[in-house]
Amino acid sequence: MMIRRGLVVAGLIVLLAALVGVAFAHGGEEGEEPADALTLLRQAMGALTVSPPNTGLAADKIHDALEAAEDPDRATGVDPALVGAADEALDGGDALGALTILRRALASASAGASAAGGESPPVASPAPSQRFGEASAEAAVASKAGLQAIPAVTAAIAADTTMWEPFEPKFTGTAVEYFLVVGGVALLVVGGLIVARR
Amino acid sequence: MASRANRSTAGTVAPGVATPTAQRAGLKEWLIERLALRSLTYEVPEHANRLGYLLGGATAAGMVIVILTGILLAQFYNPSADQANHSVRALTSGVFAGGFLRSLHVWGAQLTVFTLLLHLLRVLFYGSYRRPREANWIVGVLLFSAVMGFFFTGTVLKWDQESYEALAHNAEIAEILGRLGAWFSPAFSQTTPILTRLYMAHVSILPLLFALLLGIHLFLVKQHGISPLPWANRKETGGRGLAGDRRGHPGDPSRGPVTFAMHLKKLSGYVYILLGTLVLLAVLVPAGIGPEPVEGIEVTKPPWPFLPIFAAENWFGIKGLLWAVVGLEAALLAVPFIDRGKSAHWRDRKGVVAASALVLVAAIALGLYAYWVPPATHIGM
Repeated sequence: MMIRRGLVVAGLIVLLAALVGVAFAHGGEEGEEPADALTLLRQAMGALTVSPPNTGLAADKIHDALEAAEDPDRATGVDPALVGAADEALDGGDALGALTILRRALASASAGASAAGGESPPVASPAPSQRFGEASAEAAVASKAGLQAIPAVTAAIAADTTMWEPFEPKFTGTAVEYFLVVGGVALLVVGGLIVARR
Repeated sequence: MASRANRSTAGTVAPGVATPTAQRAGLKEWLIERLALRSLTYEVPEHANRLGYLLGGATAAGMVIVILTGILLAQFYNPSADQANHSVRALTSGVFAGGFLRSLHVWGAQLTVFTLLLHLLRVLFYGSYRRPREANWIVGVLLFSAVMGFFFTGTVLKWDQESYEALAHNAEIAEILGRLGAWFSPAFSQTTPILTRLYMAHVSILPLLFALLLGIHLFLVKQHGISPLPWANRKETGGRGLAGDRRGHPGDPSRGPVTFAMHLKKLSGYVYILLGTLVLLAVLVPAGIGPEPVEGIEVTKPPWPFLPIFAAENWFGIKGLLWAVVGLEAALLAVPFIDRGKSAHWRDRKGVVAASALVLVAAIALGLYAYWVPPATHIGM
């Protein structure tokens, strides 16, 4: 019995040693930087949307977007003036203001693409759905052949910039909600009475 | 109904005619016999009705709520990456009671994991895994893993920034594991994207696995009986160890023995409390969803059950995350084979109790640390 317990303890120590041994593999490799300004702005928005906002990362992405905006091939769908305004706001410590300006910049990008005569609005590159949503070229072909999502719906979703914002429903105090609150309290009372009974 | 012919001159119902009360008693007896409900009236220890011994049942009830709401949500969810986030928003804002159902599902998952952790800690600290319950402890650890699998896959399915980064971590770990991690790799299937496969795991593989393990778990509890309290008389726990104590404790003789049916009734009270809490949370703090994901940044942190191991990732990278999970799982599985003494009393198990307390405190501390620090970049995105 002592030998068995010793083997088990030794096994755990080996595992813990392995944990320390492969330690300090900190710092992942940076992936290839996306080329277009629109994706960089979406990344900046992503960094500002979380709580607390990652202002350092957002600033880096906005600076990269400003550089990309100078290249016509990479500036599609981006208003450099608004991006510059967002950069200034962030430098001034106004993360919320910068986020608001970025939303306007991306909203105008989507509106501009729609006004250009039915072209698809610019999308982030590479789209996350491409990395995890389509495993192969064959799957992409199947998608185009209509074997997956309804193309019109997919396009509408891609054009909907509200998808780039968090969706946070709130308690609004409707009659139904108050009814459910009363129901919840009633369940608590009933449960408490049952638990309290000997 | 008693007919006029059957009534006596005194106005009472003649013998042989069923009164409404007798009819209800008849119906009750009919149900008891057909559903074999008398088989639930076997005796259990009085302490089976303590909260600590009802946590497993509360966890199971939480899972039932989550599964039922999940079935309803699945009617409106689209598991393709370009529509998943949108389908969740459409369900929340465009389907009758959709937001409430989703919030019940999300909060139900949180509370179920919470009661599960309490149940695991109660069993661990009480030494209820000792002979003859080692196998049931292992089944319990596998159940815990299955529930965490549910939580992980459910986090990914909503397909927002948090989901995407969770999946990216999953892909990195799959790469480290090589062939062992093949199923978790996006490249595993040439025709079915990994989000769809995780959805399939969430709604079919994990539920089947969970049902099988839960069935074995409950069977073994029935066979071994409710484990005794660790501070029971040490003499009672000698010899074979903690055999199931199926007798009612003397306690207050006027109360009679405690039966399993009474245990279920007490459990129902806690289930009502759980459900009431979920309803209030779902209405007052409805579940939201983050923005559609964008590749190239790592700005989110995992949900609270995974925060302690997230701290390991912050210090040691993705491999640290993997080894933290493996180490925790191995340690849990090894517990009944390390702690094999005769007595379950805490005084006779100081080493294991102290080590467990230390791990628990460390996990809470690491979780709080991970909550406050900003995330670092670990993934080659």
